[in-house]
Amino acid sequence: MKKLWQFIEYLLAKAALALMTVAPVRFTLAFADFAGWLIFHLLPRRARIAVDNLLAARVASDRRAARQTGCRCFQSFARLIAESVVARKQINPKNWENFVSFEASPEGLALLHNPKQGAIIASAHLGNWEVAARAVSMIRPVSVIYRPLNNPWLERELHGGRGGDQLHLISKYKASPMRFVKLLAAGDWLALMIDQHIHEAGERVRVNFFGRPCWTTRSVAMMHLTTRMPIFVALAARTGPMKFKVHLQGPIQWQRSGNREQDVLAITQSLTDEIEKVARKYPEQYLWGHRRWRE
Amino acid sequence: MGIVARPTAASRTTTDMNRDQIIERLRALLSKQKEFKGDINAIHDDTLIDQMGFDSISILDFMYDIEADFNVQTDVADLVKMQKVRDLVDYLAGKLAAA
Repeated sequence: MKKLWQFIEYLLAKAALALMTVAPVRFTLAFADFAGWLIFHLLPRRARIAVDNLLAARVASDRRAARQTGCRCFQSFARLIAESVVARKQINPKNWENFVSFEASPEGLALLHNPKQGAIIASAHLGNWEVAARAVSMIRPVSVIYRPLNNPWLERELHGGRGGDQLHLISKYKASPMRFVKLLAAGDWLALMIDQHIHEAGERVRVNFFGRPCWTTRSVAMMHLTTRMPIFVALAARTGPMKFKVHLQGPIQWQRSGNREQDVLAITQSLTDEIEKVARKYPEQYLWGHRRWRE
Repeated sequence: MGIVARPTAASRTTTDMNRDQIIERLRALLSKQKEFKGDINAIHDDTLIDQMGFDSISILDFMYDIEADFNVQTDVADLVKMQKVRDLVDYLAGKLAAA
């Protein structure tokens, strides 16, 4: 039964992707908005998670406002899929600047254009993280750690064409820290999402996000402390139809204190604070519909 | 004739450690790691670092602890070349000798 449902899911996604590939961009984005609205209303449990998170984070003042922002956040996620399909077709090394701009310090921009300097990128589920990675890959090699979808057909369909000349996808299930260290040493920028709940005791650290404690990965901090490669927080906010601004905060260089766990906590909290700052600016673009704050 | 005190294990500095002592010290560091799943006593020169029994990012914890404990600074370009425990011990011995 599960396989049958997965296959139906795959066929529906394939049909939607085929439609997006041939349809005008405006139609594709409007269709995504409608799909996001529909999913918000068809999945009340998921919608409730988003609404409850928005209220608990005090981003929305009341339930009505939380539902409005929650619905827009679902639309934002549907847009991400549509935009990513369009981006694969349209964004290339010659025209990417028509779609994406960078907001970064002069030092950050210099490192972005230095092909020999590796860096660790802490990102989050805000705006369009796919386009952000693609845009950076127009300038330099990027390796992105991602979580494969549970549906194997959908996984092949969606992630098969996600990579690029300088954009490499690494399944989190095939990842190892020493592989990451090698990529960094070779000059890659290594991107990880740091706003997901982590189950494994040795791999997580407790930080505050929107004033509430949650678990997040220790990987970024530990890779920085071990390799001394600079860290950036990179988040691509949507500023218009197929227009994005990448907030590239950094480079961050942490001085070791000698107390490993204290360093890990301080670094991870500072990265999380940066993400919160941008998420507060664009609350409707953050993925509120996942169970971020778990015990 | 004055009395010359012999350095004890506790008072010995990292700079005058031999290879066996470095390995012992690495074992002691590993024994403190909660997430380390390997057999500490089975570690020898030819053990592959990949197969020591690190659970995901615990290898990075180990690298951090090595730097703090041996008071050395490792270089990422050197780290990626290391395959066996021997490489790590040689590297540390070289760093300590140069200190």
